[in-house]
Parts: sequence; structure tokens; C-alpha cells
Amino acid sequence: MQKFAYFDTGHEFPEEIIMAAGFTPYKILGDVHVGTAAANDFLFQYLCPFARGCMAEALSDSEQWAGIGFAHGCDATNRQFDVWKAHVKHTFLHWLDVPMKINKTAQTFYRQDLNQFIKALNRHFDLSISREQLRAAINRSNKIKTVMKQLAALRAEKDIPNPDYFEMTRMAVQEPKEQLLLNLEVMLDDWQNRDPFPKDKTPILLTGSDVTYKEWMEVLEVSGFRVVRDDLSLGERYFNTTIQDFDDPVEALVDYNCRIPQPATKVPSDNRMQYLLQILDETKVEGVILQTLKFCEPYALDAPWVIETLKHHGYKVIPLEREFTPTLDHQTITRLETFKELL
Amino acid sequence: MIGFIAKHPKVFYEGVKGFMHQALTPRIFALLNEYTLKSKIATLLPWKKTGNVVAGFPVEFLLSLDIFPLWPEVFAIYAGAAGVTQPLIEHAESIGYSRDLCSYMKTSIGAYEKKYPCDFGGPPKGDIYLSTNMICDTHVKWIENEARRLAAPYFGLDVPSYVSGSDEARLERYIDYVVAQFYDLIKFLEEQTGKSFSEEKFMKTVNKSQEACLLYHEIYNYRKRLPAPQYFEFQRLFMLPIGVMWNLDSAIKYYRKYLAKIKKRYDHAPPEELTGREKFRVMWEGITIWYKVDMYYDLAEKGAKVVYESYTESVAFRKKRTSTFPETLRQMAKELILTPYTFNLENRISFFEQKIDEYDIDGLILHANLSCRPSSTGLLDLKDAIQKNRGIPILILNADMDDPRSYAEGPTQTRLDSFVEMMEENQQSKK
Repeated sequence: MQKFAYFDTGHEFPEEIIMAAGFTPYKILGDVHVGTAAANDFLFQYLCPFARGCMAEALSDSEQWAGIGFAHGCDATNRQFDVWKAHVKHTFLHWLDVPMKINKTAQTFYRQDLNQFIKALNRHFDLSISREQLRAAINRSNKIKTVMKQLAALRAEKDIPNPDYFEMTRMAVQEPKEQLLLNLEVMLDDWQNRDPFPKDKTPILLTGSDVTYKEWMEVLEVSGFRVVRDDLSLGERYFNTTIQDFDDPVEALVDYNCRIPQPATKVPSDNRMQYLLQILDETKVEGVILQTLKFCEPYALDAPWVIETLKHHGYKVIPLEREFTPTLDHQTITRLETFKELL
Repeated sequence: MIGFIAKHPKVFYEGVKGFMHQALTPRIFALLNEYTLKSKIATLLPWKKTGNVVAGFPVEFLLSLDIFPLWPEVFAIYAGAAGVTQPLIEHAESIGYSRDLCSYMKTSIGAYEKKYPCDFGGPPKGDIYLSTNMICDTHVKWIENEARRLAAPYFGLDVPSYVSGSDEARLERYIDYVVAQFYDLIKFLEEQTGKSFSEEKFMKTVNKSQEACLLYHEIYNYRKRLPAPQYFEFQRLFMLPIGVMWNLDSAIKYYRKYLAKIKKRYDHAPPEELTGREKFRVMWEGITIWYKVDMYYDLAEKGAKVVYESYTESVAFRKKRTSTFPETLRQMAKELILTPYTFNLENRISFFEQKIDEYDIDGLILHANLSCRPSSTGLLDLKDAIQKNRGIPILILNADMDDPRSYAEGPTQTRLDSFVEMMEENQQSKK
């Protein structure tokens, strides 16, 4: 099954439509080991390095993809769409303007936007995506999310290193869904039989910019932290919520988009804070790590508010800014080790 | 203000000195003072509602419900022009805002925290807060965060992105969505004010802003003439009344008188008085560098005058007269979606080529603004396309609109010198 790639700085892109169209949804994450050099010919180095990494991947691999979809998230998505259109080889490039809000007006707009996307796919690939195909895709997606949720819950009980969790979330957005479900079920068996949560590790919640490479999860591991809850799109936001069974599957996707935990790009942001407080209430953690990727504006803009609010609720928080690099940054590790001692 | 002067005499002195160094006329100074004074008075009157907004927000909705608009961004511009932003920005960074974030926002936050008056960047506390993402995420988050911090109600207007390759059908759909949100906005404002929205009053308000903007555009077009009547160092101040006083009669009166003066000069003057094309006519893309007016003066001394900026043209959003309420809403939505400062890359390239021809441009300066990543995106493609299609020299200048720490005097001067030399060579080769 051919990959259909998508650029999404949150968890906004409707993978289920791609699945119903007969493609494997593939979230572009960039390759931190390759870097951003190829994209730097078109984008300044003071623009988000993750987004530049995604473009570098597209410049190198796009000919293997059936098409590319963009979902509106942060400024990088709408502004860089044009640059991709000019330089990335493609036969199908679609802009999905996921609204900034989730109220009724936004829902009406989003419904039309999704229908336009389906029409565009039908027209370009000579398809006729049916309700049944969409329902089947939603059903499969829900099964995947359910198993992922079970796996994620084990983080607080079992010995699940951070890179293992990262790998599970990466697979979910990049690998063929049928095989993925089987792999996740095998993984569930494995994780259930792991040793108990290690005594030398400190349970924390991870929030901020999406972590898109496992080396940074390794930094946390080396520093003695275990991420037992997170507020990331390449993480809990992806599987926290299942899609409801509506007569109209497009309506179900609209409804789903309104109910998932919100990233920093959505208004009102209070939903994001409510989710953070809710999961902190659900799972005992000893601290919160709030990291922002260099030049990632939405999370940097939220940072002072998030820190202040969480501290007000009695949580210990450490803010970190990180580069887009696989190098194990020892300055960060030292800061994290100090934070661990303070906890 | 007296308290501020007593507490910060040096800041006040430096600020006045900085502001007076700008290409400011007494009339513009008076108009800006009028707006600032009205802002202060509005916040003092218990019965008067005020709303803090960002660039692009359709303030006619507020004005028609007697809500006075306050523009934190414009107050940050005042601080920039006064040359007092750095300690304010550093203060915002000390409370957790990253070095990489927008310097307007950090100036505003720093000035609010330090209790500076709005003349020096400090936005008064509004009753409601409103912003839109039509320009950037920062506008949305900045104002929403302020609203939350001050426990004030907030409204966000979502303007979809009309990306490259979009067609008319998409534009119509986007307009529908923005218009639907206008109705949400009306409902929100009615709830906040306890007043009923009047279409008639709204239309009167819009007619005034259309008049002000159309006058501004008419004046703007005279910059195509040789020589142009005004350059960027003046235009960036000349635009401020249109930025904040769309519906103040004094601003309309000023622009009307100014237009009459220009018409007299250009339309009725003997041709021998209108000779003298600038040595180099330059186009500028991006926000101006507020604290560094000397850079524009230096350029002018070298014979390079900035005669067109899409940014100063964009600020006058209303471009067309409308007569009915539904038609007005659709036109306003369209103006939000399609404005030169936020054009998609394809439209930006064709728009620039058109302006280069219309304004007889010799060289283009692209401000790669560290505080405005959306505007900086696509500049490299824009540069390549313009160089290929118009063959004029193009300079990419790395700086920041309000943060002097990002401006390097020596390297900038060297690059500007080379740019002027390139324009010279280009002109020679054409002879």
C-alpha cells in the first residue's frame, strides 16, 4: 500500500480519510540525523527546525509518496505550504485549513473542508470514497487508539523506557495500519510482562513542543526520568480519544477534532490547561518537564502561563529550550539531574 | 505621565529625543497624541468600554457598539520609535518569554509590567480582548494570554489561509466562514456591552473607515510619481493614523487636506517643477526597523529612497466602497483573507512584480525580520523570482522591528553600501 504523507504540527490531519482512500497515512517527522540542510536553501535558519526537517525529508523522499496533505496548525504550516508547492516534487498536494477554534461555526467550516478534501482525493486518484470505507477506517483507527492507550497506561506501572514509548507513537503515525495493530498487540503482551516501574526513575509529565526523535527521550532516560503522562501530539493527543460512531463519518471526524486534547495552536487555550490538570490529577507524577523546540512559537508563547498555572497548583516544573539535534546534550542532562535532586 | 517622568526621567528624555528624531510632522504628532489621549480617557471613564485589538482586526464592529479600540501593537511602535524597547523586552524575557518571540509583544508586556504609559509602550487594561490569526499565531496567543492574565473576556477570529494554488471557490468558502464568525463576534460584543448591534450604525462606521482608507490609498498612489511625494521614513508615521483612527473625523480631515495638497503639487503644478526622479527608487518588504530611522536617512543620503512598502499599503484594509450590510461583511472578510502583507507566495510574487513596474523600482530590500517569521517565510523564493523576472538588485537584511539587539550597525552599513553600488551598476548596464 502506497504511503500518503502529511505535514501536521499537531494532531489535526484526518488519517482515516487517507486510510479509506486505500493509502497508508505517513506523518512526516523529518530525520534529525540527516538534518535540515536541504530545506535551508528555501527557509531561513531562524524558522522552526522541525518544519525544516520535514521539508528536507519531502525534498528527498516525496517521489515515493502518492500525495502530500498539509493540516493547518501553527504558522509554519500555512506559510511553508507555498514553499513546498514550489520545490517539493508532487502529483497531489492538498491544503486542509483545520480551524483554529472548535465552536459550531468552526465545525461547519471544517465539515466542508473535509468534504472538499475527500472530493479532491476522489477526483485526483479516480476514487469514490464511500461512507462504509470511512467507517471501516474509523473502526480500525479506534482499535489502534484503544491498544495505544492501554500501552501508554503501563508507563506508570512497568519498566517502559522513554524511547520505547516514543517508538510506539512513531510507529502509529508512520506504519501501515493493519500490521501496526498486530505489532501493537504483540507490544502489549511484552509490556504487560515487563518488570515493575524502576525505583531509580522519577515519574514525570512531558509537555511542550512535540518530541519527534527518540534521542531526546533518551536524554530524559539518562537523566533518570520516566515520562508516564504527556501532552504531545506525537503522544497522548493521538490516542486519548476515540472517534464516535455517527451515521455520517465525516461528522464523526469533525466531532472527534473538537474532543481531542488541544495543542497550543487552538483557541481557547484553556482546553489545553484543563487537559494538563486532568491528567496530572489522574496519574501521580513528581514533576513536569516543559520543553520547547528552538523557534517553536506556540508553545513558547504558552510557556510562562503554563509554568505559572502548574506551579500555582503545586507542581514542580522545569522549562527547557532544546535544539533539533540527536546529540545527547549534557548541559540539559545536568539541568535535569539537578531538577531530579530538587524533587 | 507625570509619575512616569518623575520615576523614569532618563527614559522620558531619551524617548522624547528618539521620537523627535523621527520624520515626524507637527500634524501627525498631534493626531497621534489625540489618539493616545483618547485611549487614556476611554480607560478612565467607567461607562466607556475599551477593547484591546491587533492589526487587521475589524474594529468597526467595536466602534459601532461604542467600544474604543486600544492597539498594544501601536503602543509598542511608539516605544520602538522612541528607542526605549530594549529594557522592556529584556523584562519580558526575565518573566519567561523566549528571546525568539515577537519584540512587539515583549515590548508591550514589559511596558505593562513596568507600568509605562501607552506613549511609551504600556497598553492600558481593556475591558475585552480580541485578536485574529490573519497575520500570525503570536497575535492570537499574545492577546489571549493578556486577557487571561487580566481576567478579561477574549474573542479570537479565525481567518483561513489562502495558500498558493487556491481558487475562487475556496475563497468564497473562506469568506462564508469569516462572515459566520462576524455574527459570532456581534453576539459576543452584544453580551459584553449589553447593547444591541445596529446595522445602520455599523454601516455609518464602515463608510467612515472606507473613506479614510480610500483617501490614504489615493495619496499612496502618488508615490508612483517622479519624484515621489514621501518616503518610508515618513510613510511609516503617516500610516499610523490610518492604523488607529479609522473613524476619527480628525484623521479623515487630515488625509483629505493632505490629498488636496498633493493634488495641487502633482496635478496642477507646471511640469518643470516635477522633474527629478530619485537616483534609486527602492521597495521595502517587511515591517520597518522602528529604532533605526538613521538607516533610512543614510540610504536617502546615498540617493536611495524607499518609495513603496506592501506593509504600509496593507494597513489601510478597506479598499472598496460597499452599500449593503451583507455586501460589506463579505468585502471585509475578503480584505482580511487577501491583504498584501499576508499574500501567499504566488500572489506575493506577481504582486511585487506589478508594484516594481508601477513604482519604477531600482532595488528591493527584504527585511528578514527575526520577530516576524510568517513574513520571513518565502522571502528566498520571492528574491529568486524577482531577480529572474525583473533583474533588479535585492538585499536581504537580517534585523528586528523593535529589538535593537538584533541590529548590527557595521555589517548592515556594508551591505547597504553594496546594495547601492549594485543598483548603480545595474543602471549603468542598462544605459
